[in-house]
Formats: sequence, structure tokens, C-alpha cells
Amino acid sequence: MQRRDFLKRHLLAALGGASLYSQFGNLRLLQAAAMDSSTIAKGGSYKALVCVFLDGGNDNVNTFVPRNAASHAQYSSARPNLALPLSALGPSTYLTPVTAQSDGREYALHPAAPELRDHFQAGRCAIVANVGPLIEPVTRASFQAGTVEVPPQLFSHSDQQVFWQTSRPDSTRKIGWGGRIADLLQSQNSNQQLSMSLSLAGQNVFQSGEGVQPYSIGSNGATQRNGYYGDFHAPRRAAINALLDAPQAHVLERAVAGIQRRSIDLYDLVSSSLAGAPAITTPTPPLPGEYGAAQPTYDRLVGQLRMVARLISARAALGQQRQVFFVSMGNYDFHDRLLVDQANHLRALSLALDMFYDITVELGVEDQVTTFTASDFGRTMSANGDGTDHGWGGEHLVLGGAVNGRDIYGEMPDLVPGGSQDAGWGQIIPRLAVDQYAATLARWFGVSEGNIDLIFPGIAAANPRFGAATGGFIGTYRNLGFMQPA
Amino acid sequence: MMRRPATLVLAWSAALLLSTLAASPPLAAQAVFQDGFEPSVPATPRSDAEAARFLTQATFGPTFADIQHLRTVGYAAWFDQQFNRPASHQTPYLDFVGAIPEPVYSNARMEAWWLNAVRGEDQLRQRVAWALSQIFVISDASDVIGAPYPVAYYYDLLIDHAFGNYRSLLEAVTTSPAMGAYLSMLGNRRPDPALNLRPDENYAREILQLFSIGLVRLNPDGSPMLQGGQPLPSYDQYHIKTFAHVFTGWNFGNCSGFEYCSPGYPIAVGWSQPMQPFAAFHHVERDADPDNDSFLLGALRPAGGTPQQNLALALDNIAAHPNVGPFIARRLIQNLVTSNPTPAYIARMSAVFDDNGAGVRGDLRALVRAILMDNEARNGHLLMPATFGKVREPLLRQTHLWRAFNAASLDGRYRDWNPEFDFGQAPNRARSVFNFFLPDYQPPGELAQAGLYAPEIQIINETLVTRTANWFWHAAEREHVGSPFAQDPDPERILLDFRPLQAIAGDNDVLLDRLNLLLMSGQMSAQMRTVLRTHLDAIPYAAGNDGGGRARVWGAVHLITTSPEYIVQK
Repeated sequence: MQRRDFLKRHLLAALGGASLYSQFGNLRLLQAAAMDSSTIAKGGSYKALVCVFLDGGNDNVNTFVPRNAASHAQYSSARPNLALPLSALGPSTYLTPVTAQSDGREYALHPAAPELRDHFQAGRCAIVANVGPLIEPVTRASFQAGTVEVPPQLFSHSDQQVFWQTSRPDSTRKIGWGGRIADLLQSQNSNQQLSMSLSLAGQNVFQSGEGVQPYSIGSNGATQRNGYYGDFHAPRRAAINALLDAPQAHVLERAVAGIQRRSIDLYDLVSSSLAGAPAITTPTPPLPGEYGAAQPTYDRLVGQLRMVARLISARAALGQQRQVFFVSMGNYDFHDRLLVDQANHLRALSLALDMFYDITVELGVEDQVTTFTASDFGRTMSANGDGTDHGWGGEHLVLGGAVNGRDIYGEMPDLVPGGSQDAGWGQIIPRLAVDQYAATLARWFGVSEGNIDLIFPGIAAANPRFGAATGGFIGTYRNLGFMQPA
Repeated sequence: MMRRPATLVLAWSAALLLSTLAASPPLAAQAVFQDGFEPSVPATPRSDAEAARFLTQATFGPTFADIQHLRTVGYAAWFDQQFNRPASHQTPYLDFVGAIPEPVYSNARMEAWWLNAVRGEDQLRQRVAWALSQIFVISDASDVIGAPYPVAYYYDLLIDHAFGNYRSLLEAVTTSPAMGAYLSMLGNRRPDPALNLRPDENYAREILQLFSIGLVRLNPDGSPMLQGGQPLPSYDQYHIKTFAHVFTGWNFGNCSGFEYCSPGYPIAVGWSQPMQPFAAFHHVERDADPDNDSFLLGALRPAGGTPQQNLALALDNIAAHPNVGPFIARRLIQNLVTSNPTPAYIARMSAVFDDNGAGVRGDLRALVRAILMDNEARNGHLLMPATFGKVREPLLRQTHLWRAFNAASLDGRYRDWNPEFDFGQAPNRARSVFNFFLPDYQPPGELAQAGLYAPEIQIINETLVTRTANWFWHAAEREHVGSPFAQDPDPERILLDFRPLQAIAGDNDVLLDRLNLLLMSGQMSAQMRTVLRTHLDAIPYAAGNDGGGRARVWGAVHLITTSPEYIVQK
């Protein structure tokens, strides 16, 4: 489809309620999509982004653990009863990044995640340090004096999830950055019926675009409408279609009809594409019995990731040169029982992401698929008993063959209660903004430099709020450097 | 002394926020009133359709008998009857299952919920408890309270307080061991500086954000209060910290000591009683910094006191906050009546919450009655026909179908254990304390552009919408008395009774009239009716085995219950 046609389609879509595109797309984004000079060649190289959202707010302090004597002592005094002892951090947990942290601080990855540690050491996995929603750089002094702009309702689950997924803490419009990427790049896919935003976790803000909305699919694939297909049901099919396609007078009816219509219209494409793709042979590793409390969580995550892999495998039949996936993993809200629950969760996460990476190798797309984590927030450095509370900044993982791995991007935080990086109650002040993390991924995915400004205005060139002096990261403020060139 | 931040909110577009938080813009009065009709609230429903529409909001679904009853007695008597009916509870059902004897799993709790929702005579109480369970959320999807009894005791508490006072409800919720376990107030202890331990903030944060006042100060009509053009936060981290300190020292009621306290074995009696306080683990000291002892709206936490006294003071402080009226009223309105109440509707309900007419604040009985009898509830579909109403919760579509057509198994149990698979929703099985969907969820696209909310759409997506439709197809086609798929039903199979419909299915107009009344409160559009009529006319009506109108009836029920017009309750 020519881009001119694409634009026309957007505008025409205002006439119908069941289009892939909603009726009132943001014209600037749509125009940018039509004008974007960094087009992806049709049928050209394939790429996918996989967002794994850790629901509830991971405790990063016990995930990326200080291991040299001085920093471990600092960590232990910040949370004496929750700190992992040095004896639990054997050499097989050590992270040895290419670029040393300041002050010689060294880290280990939680011992329940050896596969992720091995990916890091092998150069396929990067750690992005202390990132979180920011509007401008924040210090403890400026935060406590109230002289700095910060996202409203910090430390609330629902709000910080939205900030993470929109990277626009100054806007109440819940348009996610995955959705904005899809707005820009959807027209490059050869199939225009199916959204490039594919959700394994239902409705979400991350993939909500101005124009392009996510298509949701379950771990078992698309669901066929019963009583609809075949000659026998032809009269019923006609009636169902008539009810769905009627010009509904009520705004909620239009919304409901639109979802039903998409579900039916895309079923054939999705189910036949999935059926035509070769079976995936990489097995699902068993979750060891001692982590069994996380079995349901693990099963859900593995189910989502295996369906992501099948949709990647079926990309040609689906007509998709670009795919953005949203996967979620629940119950990271470790107010209680942090030591046990987090070990269970990280064991499950490590095994599942390792399996998923192996599948991308099996499919020959390991250099074209980038998986990254996001979460509500990091948690407090201090403890509340046997758990920790809602925090702010935290570390995240980026995994894939296109990642400049074995490095920690940005500066790991000091863990000093009341220190310069404590917002006041043990919450760690982020040094990197979600915009920077997101823009680095978007650029690799094919968003042009000019459109980075459009969808991440917080770091637009004309508005360099986050100077290179913000932290010790390796790239520039617009490109943290953890991805290879697009 | 740490200086309190002047404000945590600096850069927020007030205009956008207004469009987000305020209720939907009032729509112009519609042409329907040009003939002189003035919307009013009569003492008795003026038609079967009006009665059905009321019962759709106030119960788990209208039945033909309930419609006739309401028309006979009128609204006032109906409320009096409902307020005075004995409450149906969940725990006796769990006891019943255990006495059979069968193992009591979460399945039994689901059966109890269905039984009370579908068969309970105390429909209004059950319906309000269901709404409360989505405000004061606990979930057995958390393995903290994976067992059925803790959740059932908690749900029974909501049933008992559904017509009580908000302040009492808040205390019952706060001291419930299930809530204590879910949001970690149970076992929360005073600070220990040596270990850099501070009280757990979980319950303090969520009681404010979700159970009482919300994030920003509200006007009585639910709109945000502004200061310098920005919304005014309701609380800050100092308040969270203060309440977290107050909520220390509580553990299971059966324990002799705070530490190593468990609900008991083999009978976990601790779940059945409120948590008890342990003074030695309660934080009583005043801080030198008054910011660290901040109750809401400038009040200070007093020094000393027992855990009970301090809890009572904290809950008094929260329950007295002027946000509670608009905050709780909007949630109940959204659950029962419409996703987008006008500011005036919220303001009227705030006034009732603040004073029930007898000087009592927080009277939920008065609030529920006022919400359902308000002119907007009774006539909103005429006043705002393009936006009024809400997407029906999938679970309530099922109870509606089951009640309308008297679904039952031969042994009386409702063994439907995992509705979340098809519906994305099951009682007390939300993924987090934020419930299945958020009250401020705006589907992207037309609704978001119009500033309208549609919470229930958050759990509708391309996968679930078809799974749900298939559930209704399956139930209508196969799970009814006389179905060829249920010729030799086992006693556990839950079957609809379509026979009264089959008896009238010789005339498709009569059949559609009845279905329109029971399922759509008489609101089926002419266009939809034409589609159904055309479809049904092509199905021969024949006596005999597969005849007697069976194909017409299930075909019509399936088409209606999966249609966009039905799915939106108006």
C-alpha cells in the first residue's frame, strides 16, 4: 500500500467504527507516518520488540546485587534483614561488564537467574541502570524542596505503570510509546488489517496509539466464533454481521462492536498463519520444584512467550515486517516475603526468557528480536519487615542479538538511606528517564531521528533536558547506546 | 526537619485532567422531550420495561416474576423488603460442602457466589456487596490468601455491611485478616532503626488511593479541586508514612503473641475473626517532626494511645474527608448505573453520603437507594441516549441469563468454577487490588477523544470477546431443558429453562417482546428487531422433538446476548 493510500485510509476510517485505526488519530503522527523518510523496505529486514512488564514493581536492589566489599556493606546496612549475603553470591553470579562502574562497584545477578547472567556475560544482554519516569533531572534537594517537575502521584502502582508505558508523565492522555511507534511504522507492514501491536496480556497502555490499537491474542491463539462458520450457520452469520455492522447510536455499542468485528475479521488470517508456521521444537524447561510456588506465574509467562514466538514464526503469512509484543508477568509487589517470592519469580523469569531466546535462535531471528523489561517502579532500598515498598528508579534488562551486551548503561545507585539518591523515604531517584530507554529501542526498531523527537518530546533535540552529564551512561542522552545501529 | 515539598504536582495539564477526571460533558436535552414529556421518577414503574430496567441496575438480573412484583408493590416497598431480607452468606455454603464431605476448595466459594447471585432473595444486598468487592478488593489470585474460607469470611463481611455505615465498613475491612494478609497490614510492626525497618506502606497507600479518597482533592461533584490551575493532591508521602505507622501491631485474633502468629491448625480460626492488636508492636511515639505525624487535612496524630484508639482516630480522619462522598458515590454509580455520571448526579449523591437526611454521614443504605432512584438513573437513557449506561460485566451477563431463564442443576448446585477463563473476571480473583478494570479506563479512540470512561472494556479484547460470545452460544444452544445435547443430563449440569419461551414462540413478535423485556428492558432498536425477526421467520416453528420453538428460542437468545446493543446496559 502506498503511503498516500494509507493516509487516506486513516481519514476514511472516520466513517466506520470497526477499523484497525480509530477515528480520531493524531494528525501530526499520521502525517509523520506518511512523510517518514526512513522507510523500512517492504519485505526488508524483520524486527520485533518484546516488552515483558513485571507487574507490581520489581525489587531491583536484590536483583542486581552489590558484591564488592564496600558496596555490599552499604547495601547490607540499608536493608540488614533482606540483603543477600556475600556467601550466596558465588562467582557464577558475577557480572563483569566491559565498562566499570564508578568507585569500582561490582555487581552480581540474583542467584536464581543464572541463565540471564550467562546471557549478560555472553554479550547478548545489557542492564540499564536506575531508569524511571522523569520530566527533568531530579536531586534529593530539588525533590524535597519541591522545585523540580516530577510525575504526579509518584509511588502509586496505577500511575507509575502509566508513566512507564507512556513515557509522558506530563500528559494524562494514555497513549503508550509502543503505540506511538506503531502509529509511525504500521504503514510499513504489508498487511494493513492486523495491528503490529500484538498483546498477550489484553488491553494495555503501552500499545495504545493515537491511531493504531493493539490486537489481543491468548496463549492458545485466536479464538474462533462458534455458530458462525459454514453453510449451516449462514443465516446466523448474516444476522450476527447485521447486528455488528449496524450503525450503532450509542458510543459504547460502537466500541464493543469494533472489538467483536476485529476478532471475527482477523481470526482467519491469524489462525491460518499460525497453523502454517512450523512447529517450535525448543522445549519448555521445567521449573524446579523448590520454586514451585511460582508455577502458575511461570506457566502464564511461558504460554505468552511461546505464542509470541509462534507469531514471529508466522510473520510472513501475517504480512508483518515489524511486530511489537506486550507480555506481562504478575505479582512483583513484594511488600511481604521478598526473599522467597522474588527468588521464585526471578527463577521463572530467567528460565522463560532463556527459553524464548533459544526459540529466536531456532527461528533464525535472534538478531532481529529484542526483549526488554519494564515495571511499575523499583522498590525502596529500606525494608518494611520482610518486604519493601513502592519506589521509583530501577534497573532493567535488554536481551537479544542486536544488544550491545555485557555492559551496565548508566550509573548504579548509591544505597544510602538519607543519601543523595534517596528521595526521602528509601525510594531511589532515577538518573535515566524512561524516554531515553524507550528512544534507544525505538531507534533500533526503525523510528527516524526526527520522529524520535515527535514521540519522545521530553528528550527532543530542541529540549535537551537530560544532558550527558546526567549520569555515567555510555551513549548520549538521546541514545543510551545499548542497541546496535538500526 | 525535612521540608515538605510544596507540591508533588507541577506539570500537569489542567485542561486535560479536567477532561479526564470530570464526568462526561452534559449532553443537550434530546428531541424526545419536544412532545412535552418531562422525565420524572414515579412511585411505581410505569411499565414492565421500566421495572426490568430498574431491576437490571439493582439486582443480578430481572425475572418475569420480579418485574410483576415490583410493579405491584412500587419502589418504596421494594426497597423496604430488600433492606429487611435476611442476608445470604458464603461461609455456610462452604460448611455445607465440607460436611458432605467434600474437600473445600476455591470452587466451593465460586458455587456460593453463584448461588447467592442467582437464587438469593436478598438481591439488592448481594448486588451492592458485589460492587463493594470491586472497590475493597482482595483476591485469591494472590497465594497469600489462596484458601476459600478467608475470602468467604471477607465477602460475608461486605454482605453484612452493604446497607450499613461506611465508617463501620472501613473498620471491618481494615481489621479483616484477609485484607490484612492481602495488603500486608497483618504482621506490620513498629520501626526498628537497628535494622533500618520501617512500617509497611501497602495498606496505608491503598486505603487512601482506592478505598476512600483517591489521589486528588475532589469537589462534591467529583471534579478535581485546582490550585494554581493544577489538581490538588489528596495526600503525600508524609501522610502515607503516618498511616503506615498507625497501622502497626495487628495480627491474627487467635494468637497469644505477635511473632510466629498463624491462623491456627487444623481449624484456621484466625481467618474468621478480626485481627487483634499487640501494643508492644504498635508505634506510639510522636516524631519531633510534625510532618511525620500528619493525618489528612492538617490534623495531627496524637501521641500515645493504644493500637485500637489510634486505628479509630485514623479511620475517623479518613472517613470524615470530604472526598469520600464523591469518590465512593462515583464508584457505586459506575458499578450499578452508568460509567459516566454527570457532575450533578455525583453531587446529589455526595450530599446524601454527607447527610442521609437524619444527620448521619456515610449511610450506605441511603446512598444506594438514592443512586438507584435518582432522576439520572431512572431517566438517563432518555436524557443522554448516546452515552448513558455501561458495558455489562461478563459475569452479570451470565447471572442475568441464568436468572431470566431459571437455570438450575438437578441437585441445586452451580458448579461453574472458572468463569475467568471465558470472561476475564471472577469474584475475588482480580490480578491486583486495582480490580479487573480501572474506574478511569478510557478505551483509546472515540471514547478517549470524547473524554468518556468505559471501565469494563478494559477486560474485553479480541480474544475474550469471542470466548465470551462462545459461552453464550454454548449455553443457549445446548444447556437447556430439552436440548438434544442434554437428553440425559447428569445432576450437576446447569440447564436453562426455555419452556415458557417455547410456548410463545409460535408468534415471533410475542417471543421478541418477551425477550426484549427480560434481556433488554424494552430498549431493543427497531433495526435490531428487524434483523432478529427476519432471522426467526426463516426458522420453522414445529411441534415435536426439536420443535416447539426450541430453535427459535435459543437462536434468539444467543443473538441477543452477544449483540452490542445488549452488551451495553442503558
